[in-house]
Amino acid sequence: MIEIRHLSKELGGREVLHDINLKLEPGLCNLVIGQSGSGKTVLMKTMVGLYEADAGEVLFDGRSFKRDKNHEQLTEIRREIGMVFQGGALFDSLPVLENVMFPLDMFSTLSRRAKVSRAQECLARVDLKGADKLSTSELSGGMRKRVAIARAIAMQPRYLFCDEPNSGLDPRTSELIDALISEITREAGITTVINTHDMNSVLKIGDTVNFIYEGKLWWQGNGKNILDSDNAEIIHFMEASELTKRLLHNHRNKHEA
Amino acid sequence: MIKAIGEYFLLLQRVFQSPGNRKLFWKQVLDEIYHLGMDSIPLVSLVSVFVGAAITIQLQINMDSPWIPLYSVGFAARKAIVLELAPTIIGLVLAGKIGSHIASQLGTMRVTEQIDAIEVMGMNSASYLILPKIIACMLFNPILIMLSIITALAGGWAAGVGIMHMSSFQFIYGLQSFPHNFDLVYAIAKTLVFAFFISSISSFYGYTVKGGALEVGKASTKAVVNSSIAIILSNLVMTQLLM
Repeated sequence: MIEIRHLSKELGGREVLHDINLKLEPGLCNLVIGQSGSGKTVLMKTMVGLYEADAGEVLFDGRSFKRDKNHEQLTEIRREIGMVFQGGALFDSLPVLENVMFPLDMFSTLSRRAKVSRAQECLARVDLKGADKLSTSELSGGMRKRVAIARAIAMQPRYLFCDEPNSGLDPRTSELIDALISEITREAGITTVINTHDMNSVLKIGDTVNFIYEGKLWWQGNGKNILDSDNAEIIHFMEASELTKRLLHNHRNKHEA
Repeated sequence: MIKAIGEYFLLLQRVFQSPGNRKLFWKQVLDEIYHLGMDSIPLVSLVSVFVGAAITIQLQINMDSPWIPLYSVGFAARKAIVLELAPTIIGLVLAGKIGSHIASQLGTMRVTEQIDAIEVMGMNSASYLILPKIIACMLFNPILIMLSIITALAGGWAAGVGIMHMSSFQFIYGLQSFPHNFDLVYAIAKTLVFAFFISSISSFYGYTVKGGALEVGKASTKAVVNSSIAIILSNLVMTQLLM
């Protein structure tokens, strides 16, 4: 479980996160939603230690993740983290297999053959069997995301962070990526945190949904009860998508009937 | 400016920490030697041959006096090439080639979150990415400078004999006259300092890029300009100290 306690963060003189308190459960897809610029990415980057929190702390199964604290503990926690970045963040200089093997090369004592086998296993898990030798420039957007997921799970992480995993993807590929993350989360009991503003993802895989608005945690619920919310800001957020707007309309009509 | 210098030293502090997996680290050094060093051989050779030839022609024209023996052209060409042309001029050429390569590579890695990906894995990205570049430059740039000296002297000989109709014997006699081994030590010492400045300053500008593609371009320019300034200033200081 990941616990966020009174987390605040200021960037460029603006308070981007204000007193966030949050518990993210293992084996579930914990979604953080909000408009662009609401602070989702800053929250995720602060959670994984890319930004230092101005106040508050993040606990990974009770272990504090602060830069000024025990350096070994920080490294230990980081090695239990897998992260899928918005653009994939694949290493251009390495082919697909080497990208997936990168964390194994760095931290594992496995033989070369075992590392290759593990990397191929991860690629097969994301439906990219046989893509080993492709260069990253030959990959489509969806394939890049899948390779990034394969790299993130290569070290069998306890915590998986996905920053807008389906941004820039077509609806069908987005659905596949969502289903893949959800399956992996359940299979391995990982604590998965997903930043998104895609309402399809919210409704389909949102085991817990946390709505961030102007740097504050505005609403908590899940993909099932989000349509029942009477919070003005979250309704406004949902109505931005034509599909959700219609869903919301039908949902209300059903309730009134 | 002072802030940038402070940040540069803070980055160096991170760079000179344990890079993690040593086997992979040395593989990384070899890769950098190939990309930063071996790839520079054609450019260094080409520039050196032509500048060596131009120096010899200039010397011969300007030293055309019955009071100055002809072999002095070879001697003066050797001095100019070993002491300044090879280490300093080629240092500036390498600042352009290697500096822009390093800054744009690291800058692109920064804006596409590849550096963040390395950090999230629990690695020291500064040490993993920058230290191999510094080591590769400090190991291979002296070899490039030796190559530059040889090719520049060959260019000088070709111009002296082929264009200025000097005898080959006179030019080579001049090259061999009044040998001074310290000149080479001085050239190598300067090269090592320049190699450090080129690799570390360019890495600093690339690694600390914020923004997008436009900023990567700006960082690349800053890397080349500031590496060149560092080379010129340190050249003056080292000339005063060592000669």
